[in-house]
Amino acid sequence: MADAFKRIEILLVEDNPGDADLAREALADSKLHNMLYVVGDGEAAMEFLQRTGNYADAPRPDLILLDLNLPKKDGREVLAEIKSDDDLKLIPVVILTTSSSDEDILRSYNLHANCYITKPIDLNQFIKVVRSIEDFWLCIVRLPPKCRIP
Amino acid sequence: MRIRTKLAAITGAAAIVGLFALSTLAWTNAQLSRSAAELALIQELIETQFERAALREEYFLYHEERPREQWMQHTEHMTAALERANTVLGAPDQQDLLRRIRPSLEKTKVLFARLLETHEMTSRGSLDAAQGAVIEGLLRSQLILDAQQLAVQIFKLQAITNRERAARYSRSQALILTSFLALTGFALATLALVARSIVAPLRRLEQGIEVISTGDLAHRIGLVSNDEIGDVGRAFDAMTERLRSITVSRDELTKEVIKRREVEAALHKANEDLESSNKDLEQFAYVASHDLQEPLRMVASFTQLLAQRYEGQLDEKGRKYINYAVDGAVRMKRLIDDLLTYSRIASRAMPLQTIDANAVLEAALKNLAAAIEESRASITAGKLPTVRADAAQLTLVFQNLIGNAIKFRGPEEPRVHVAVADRAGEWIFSIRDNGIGIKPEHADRIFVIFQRLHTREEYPGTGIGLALCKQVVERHGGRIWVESEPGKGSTFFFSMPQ
Repeated sequence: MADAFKRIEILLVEDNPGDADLAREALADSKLHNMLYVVGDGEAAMEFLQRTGNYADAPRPDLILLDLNLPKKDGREVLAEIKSDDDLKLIPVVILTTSSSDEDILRSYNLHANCYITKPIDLNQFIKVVRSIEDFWLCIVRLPPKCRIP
Repeated sequence: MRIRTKLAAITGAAAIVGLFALSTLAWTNAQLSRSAAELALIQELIETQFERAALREEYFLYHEERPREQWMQHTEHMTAALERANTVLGAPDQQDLLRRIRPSLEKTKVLFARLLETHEMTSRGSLDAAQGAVIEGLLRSQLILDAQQLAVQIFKLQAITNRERAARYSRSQALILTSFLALTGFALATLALVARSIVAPLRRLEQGIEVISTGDLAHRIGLVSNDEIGDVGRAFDAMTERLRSITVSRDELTKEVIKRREVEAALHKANEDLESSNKDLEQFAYVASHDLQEPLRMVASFTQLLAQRYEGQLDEKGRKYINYAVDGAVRMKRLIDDLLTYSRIASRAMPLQTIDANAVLEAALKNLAAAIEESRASITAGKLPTVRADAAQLTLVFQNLIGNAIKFRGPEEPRVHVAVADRAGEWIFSIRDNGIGIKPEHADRIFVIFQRLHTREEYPGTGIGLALCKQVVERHGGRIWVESEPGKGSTFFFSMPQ
């Protein structure tokens, strides 16, 4: 069970600023003390996770919300890289995308995505979904200790 | 004429010519031996005559019995020889001479007998010796004279016979020459015949075969003769004709093969184009499912956010407009989703499998559970068969047809019955409802994409459902149609091959 006083770090990989804002809106009123980091493309996401480039001081996120269709580096590649990294693969990755295609769903789970969610068109639905994600992955689910493998 | 007949004719002619030559030889031989026999007989006559002359003279000198007897013998011999000559020498002038010789010989015989008689009388003394000697001398002279005449006639005979022999000889030579000429002529004629009726056509045949073997199958040998070579030529022409027609049909076949290959290539190209256009469609479908929906979502979400954040500042009209915007975006999303499903009927088709239609119906009802519950519809179904189908697509068909039956319900609670009939090797599925029904004139229109019979306010929907059903059913080799009357419910039918 996550500590209610502990700050929760969430990385949102999302190229659409509207969606990023919606996610912020949804998480703003959360009961958890969370910190949302947003990166706009796949390369930035990997730099963030590996703490290179502009993200040398980036924290290790507790949850990754990953869009699939991203500039530079595709969300699928990012997912594959995360899940093939012995350390990073411990971080739950939630695919949050507009696509409802069977291929994307199947492919994401094949790449060991932790769950796949299609963004609802309705605002309230969207907020509900984002809050559910946060609630489920950060309050309900028991995750491995937050430590880095040297 | 057949060659066999010609050869038989040649053989026959050769036999005749040969017989002629042989008989000519035989005849010549006979003629010459006849002349030889004639001359031998005449020689005998000459020799006998000369011996008689010698014996006569001897008798005159000595009057002995031996020459006398011998003379007699020779004379008899000569008579006999003349008898033989009479049969041997048949020519008229020979016969003529013989007729003169015979009395001459008879005369010598008489004279010699008188001579003997005179000598007898003298020696007996009944005749005076001197007188006897004179008579004897006279007789002797007469005898010599006659003998000489006889000899002359015999020589004449010899001359005639020699002449005759020469004539025979030259006749024989002429005959032999004639036979030789006949033989030569015959040989030349045979050669000419063989050359004309065998060698020439054979040569023509050979040349024709050479021409044809170089590939000119239009060439004909064209022998008209009625013989065996003509037969061979005609058989060869017939063979060439068949070969030509075979070649022609082979060429046509080759052309056909080339044409088919071209068609195949075109088909292959078309297939590739189709594949690439399918890929484009896939790409489009993905764009539709993702890229088109994201801005839509933005429109809907932020309109809603706007409404929530600035609730206090909006009047009734403002809220209504925001609702229109959100509703438009939501409908647009549904349209995109339905279009996507429709476009994927062909591109995402799964292979047909033998499946239980009851299970398919069950799956469709599960998807419709909310609508069924909300409308309090009662759905009944007969026992359905197993069919060869794409289960997901067949589920869509049931789902759309039953969904429509519920959506277009009448004043009563909806009752839907699903049944199947076996008709001439096809399963005819039917979905009967007690809904509002359809005017018969609209029975075809409803299966066309985006064709709607009602406003969205009356019945929501995108106008894709029945078009989708039609496409699925047709992909399975079936038909879909409706029987309905307004106010009396509708029955949708679709067939599937068994």
